[in-house]
Amino acid sequence: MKRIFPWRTILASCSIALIISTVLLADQKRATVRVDGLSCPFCAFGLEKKLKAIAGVEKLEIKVNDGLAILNFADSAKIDEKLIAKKVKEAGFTPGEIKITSSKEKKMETNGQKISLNIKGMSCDRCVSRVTDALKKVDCVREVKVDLETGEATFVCTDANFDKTKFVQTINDLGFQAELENK
Amino acid sequence: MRKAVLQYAAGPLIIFASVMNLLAQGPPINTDTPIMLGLEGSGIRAFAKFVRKATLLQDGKEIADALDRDVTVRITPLAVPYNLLSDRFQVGVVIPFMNIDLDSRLQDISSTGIGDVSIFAKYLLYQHDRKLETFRVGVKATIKLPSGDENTSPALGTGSTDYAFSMVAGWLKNRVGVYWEGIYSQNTSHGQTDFGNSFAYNLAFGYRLLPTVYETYPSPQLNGFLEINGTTAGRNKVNGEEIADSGGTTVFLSPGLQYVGGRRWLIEASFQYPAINEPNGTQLATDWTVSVGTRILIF
Repeated sequence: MKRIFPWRTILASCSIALIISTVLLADQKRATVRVDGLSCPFCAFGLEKKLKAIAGVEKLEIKVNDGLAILNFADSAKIDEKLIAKKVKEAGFTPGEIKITSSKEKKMETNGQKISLNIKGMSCDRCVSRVTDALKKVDCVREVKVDLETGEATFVCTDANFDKTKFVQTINDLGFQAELENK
Repeated sequence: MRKAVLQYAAGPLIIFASVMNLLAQGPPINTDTPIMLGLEGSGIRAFAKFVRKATLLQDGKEIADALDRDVTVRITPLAVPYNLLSDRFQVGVVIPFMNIDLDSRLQDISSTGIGDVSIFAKYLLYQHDRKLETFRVGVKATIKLPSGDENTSPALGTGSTDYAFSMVAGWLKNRVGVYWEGIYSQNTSHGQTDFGNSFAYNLAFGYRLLPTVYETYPSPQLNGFLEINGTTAGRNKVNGEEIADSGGTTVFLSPGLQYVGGRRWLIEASFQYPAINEPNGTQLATDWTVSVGTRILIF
């Protein structure tokens, strides 16, 4: 009996492996560019138009309050930092630092649960520092942002089992009144 | 003779003042801006502006008007700016559609049509950007063409070609915006009348009322403005002789509101009340003006 070498099976297996590895290794990239001068939100139309026109941009977010434009690129796209800076300039603004992050880093950044606290009683930058420092001392806490104007503190907690009421207690111990925001 | 000249000159000067005010429209409502981006850039602007003049002043004091004159100017200017090559250079045209009613004990007269068309060029001279902050300075040149009919009564145009040069500055940080503008108008003559040159000065304070924190573009936005819009004009001359009852100073206090509804449109309204009303000699003074308008981004 003639033994047939299973070329077809091997080829099919290789193809499947290739597809799986491509999917697993797919590294969607993100460019975050600081846009200086972005103080009039109704001026941002041209910025949005110019940045969206860059090849490979799948999604664009303009975070006015942070002065940032976040460009999400397709897997295969090559990010040209000079081109991004040029487009920001053409839109009438001044480009600042451009940070490139991969999807893996993105995943690490966003791992965990985002938590928001409404805090009453903050009246100055010193209060903001105290709240920020207190939250940063909690082991699971990352990416703390405290807004004096809105009285909101947002951060990521990487421990899903952590008792959230402890955050409230931590802030209340400083003499403020905090409550968990339902999001 | 003097009264005839005044009657001849009153209409065109009102129109000219209105058009120059329109040229100063920018995201502050009655003051220009050096920022030529987004809704301040290449879009159509249309306004309905009402100017009411019914108070007769003599050396700044109200007196009884024997003719009981009452002037209402309705002006709907259509402004089309366009950014050329980059967002640092803008050219544009302003076409005012006018209706002027002059009612008095002697007669009621009215004119309707296109007023004096203006063309302008604006260039961004200086720009300094920081996080959530910008300071910009621009220069602007405007030519007002004698396209309005100066032979109707009330006249729709001055019949003269006039030139205006202005410098405009703007500082914006977070929710606050401060704008300043100075406009020098070199006015020429028509027939035997030499129109007096003028200097206009505008200062605007803007504040974003809502949202308190602007997170992601685009979001609806409500802005409040308080502006000071002043003009000092020299006297006109007829055959080289100064006309005592012409020119003067008016300074308006102008509160306004502006709603930016999306990427491509906004609506706005402003009321102007004359805080200083000192026309030279005896003249009808502006009692108030109201502007209601929209801007639509088309390019």
